[in-house]
Amino acid sequence: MHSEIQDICLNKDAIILTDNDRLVAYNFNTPLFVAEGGRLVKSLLSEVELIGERRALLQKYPYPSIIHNLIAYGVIVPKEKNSENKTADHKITPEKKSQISLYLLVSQDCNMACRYCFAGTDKYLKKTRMNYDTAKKAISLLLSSMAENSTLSIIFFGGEPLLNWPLINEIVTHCKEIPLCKEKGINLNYGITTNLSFLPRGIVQWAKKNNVGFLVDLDGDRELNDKTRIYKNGAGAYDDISKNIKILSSGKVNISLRVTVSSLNVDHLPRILEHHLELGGDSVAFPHVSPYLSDGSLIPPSLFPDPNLYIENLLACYKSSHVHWSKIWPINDFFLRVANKARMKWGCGLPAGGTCAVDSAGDIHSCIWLVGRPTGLVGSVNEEGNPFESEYFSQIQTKLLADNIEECCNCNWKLICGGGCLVRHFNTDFSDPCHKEATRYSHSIVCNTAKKLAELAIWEICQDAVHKASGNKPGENYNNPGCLR
Amino acid sequence: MKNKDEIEAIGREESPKKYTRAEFIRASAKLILKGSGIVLFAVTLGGIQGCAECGGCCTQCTSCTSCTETCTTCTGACTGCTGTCTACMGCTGCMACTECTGSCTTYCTAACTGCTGCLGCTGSLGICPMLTAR
Repeated sequence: MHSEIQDICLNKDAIILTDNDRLVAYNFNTPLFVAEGGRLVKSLLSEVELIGERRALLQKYPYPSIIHNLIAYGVIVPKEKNSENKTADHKITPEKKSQISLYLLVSQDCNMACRYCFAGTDKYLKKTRMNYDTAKKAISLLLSSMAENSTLSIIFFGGEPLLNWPLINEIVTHCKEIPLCKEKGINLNYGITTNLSFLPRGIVQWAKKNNVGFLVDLDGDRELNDKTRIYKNGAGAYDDISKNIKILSSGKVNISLRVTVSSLNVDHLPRILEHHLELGGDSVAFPHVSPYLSDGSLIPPSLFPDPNLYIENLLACYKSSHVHWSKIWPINDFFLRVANKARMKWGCGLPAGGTCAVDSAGDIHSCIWLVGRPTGLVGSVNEEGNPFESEYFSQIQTKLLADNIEECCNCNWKLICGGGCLVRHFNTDFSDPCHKEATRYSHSIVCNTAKKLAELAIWEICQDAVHKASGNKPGENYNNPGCLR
Repeated sequence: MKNKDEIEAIGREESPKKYTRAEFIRASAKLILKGSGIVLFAVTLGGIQGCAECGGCCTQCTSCTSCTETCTTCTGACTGCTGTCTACMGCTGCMACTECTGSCTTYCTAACTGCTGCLGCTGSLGICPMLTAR
C-alpha cells in the first residue's frame, strides 16, 4: 500500500528530537527511536519537504528500508494526508459527560491573606457562605448532565472551605442518598482544597471514612512558606499548617501538597519536594503563580517566577534520586500525556465544561479563575436548562482551540500542551501594557514548561522501552541516562 | 482478579507498596531495522497500565475493537472517539489501541481527528490539575 505513495512530506504533527547520534520521531502513536544513526536520519528528514518526492529522496538517500519505515510509521506522510484539516470537527457535542469536576465555593471568605491570592476582593472574597439548598441544586444539575458509570468529582473550594465545614459534612451525607447515582452508577469522589491552618474536630475520621482527598497549600519550609502564606495579621502560617498535615497523614488520609511557585521560592523546589514528602505529602504539585486575579487585575510582577528557573528546578526535582516521577506535578502530567498518546485540543477541561465552579449565590462559572468576570459566567443553578448546551461552551471551544490560538497554531507541540492554561485568553484589557506583558509572560512560561517536560517524557519513555527490549540495563548502552524510575 | 486501582509494583524496588493505575507506564519496543549504521526501534506506547486481568487492552477507552470481555473492567472513560480509519478499517481513531500495527499508522494518524469527544484519552480534560489533587 505504501509503495504507491510518491508525493511526500513530513507529518506536520511529528516532533523530532535529537541528542548526539540518537533521534526520536514522536508521532502520537508509535514513536520511532533511532539508537544509532540519528544524524543520518535527521539529515534525511530535513530534506523531505524540499525534495517532496519519494523516488528523488531515495536517489539522494539510498536507504529504502529506512524510508519505508518512516512512511509506515507515519513520520513521513502522503502530501494529501498532511493537508487535511484534522480539527475541523472539533466541537464537543453536549452529550452526557463522563468526567466532571465541580468546584463548590462553600466559603467565599478566608482567614488568611496570601500575597498572591487570586481571589479578587470585590466579586470573589465577598465573605459569603454557600447554603445547603444551593449546594444540592448544583450537584443535582451536574448529575443530570452525567453519563452512566461516569465520575463526578466534588471539590470543596473557597476562600477557605473549612470555614463552612458543617455544610461540607452535610453535602457528603446528602450525596450518599442520591438515587440517581445508584441508578446510573455514577461514581462520586470528594476533594478539599484548603490552607489547613485549622482542623475541624472529627475531620480525620470523616475524611478516611468518605475517602476524601486533601490538596493543601504550603509553599516550602517555615522560612519560605511564611514569606507568602500569612494570616491577616501578617504572621506566618507554617507551624499550624505543618502540624495539621502531620495529623492528617498519620490518620492515613490522602494529602497532596501544592506549592505555588513564585519568584520567592522558585530556586528551592528540590528542597521543598523533599521537605513536603517528609512531612507526609503523598504527592507534590508545583504550579507557578498565575499573573491574574479572578477579577482580571494582576498580581505584582515581582512575584512572577523566571520561566527558565522554573523549568530548571522542576527538572532538578525529577533528577532527585529517590522521588518517583508520578509524585511530582506537572512532570507526571506530561509523562501520562505522552504515554497515553494524548492529543490535546485545549489546555484543560474548561471548554468541555469539566471545570465548573459554583459560587455561594449559585452562579456557575467556567473556571475558578474566572469567578466574578462576565466572560466566565455560564449560568445559574437557579435557572432552568442545561448549562452545557449553552452557546457559551460552543463559542469558547472554537475560540480556545489550540489551532485557533495565534501563538500556538503553527507549533507542533500544541497537541501535547493544548495551549496551556486558558485564563490568559479571558483577559479583556490588552491595551494596558501591564496586562499585555502579563499575557506574554503567561504564554512564555506555559510554553517553555510544556516543551521541556514533553521532551523529557518522550526521551525517557522511549529509552526505557528500548533498553528493556535490547536487554540492557539503563545506562549500559546508547548513552541512556536511565532516569525512568 | 486484582483491584484495578491497586496493581502491585512488580519488579520495582518499592514492591511492597501498592500504586495507583496512573503511576504505571507501559511501553515496549521492537527492533525493526539494523544496518547502514542505523539501529531503529519502533516503540509501542501502552499508556497507563490497563486491564489488570489480561494486561493487554486499552487504557481507558472502551471503543477499541480488540477489547475482550475481560477488559470491561476498564473504566470506560472514553465517550466515543470518532475517526474510523477508512484505509484499514482497523483503528477506531482513539489512538489508545495497542493493536495498531506499523502498517496502519500512516493512515490512522491522519484519520484521527483528535478524539474530540473523548474525555478519557487525554487524561486532563476533566480536571484542572492546578487545582485538583492527583
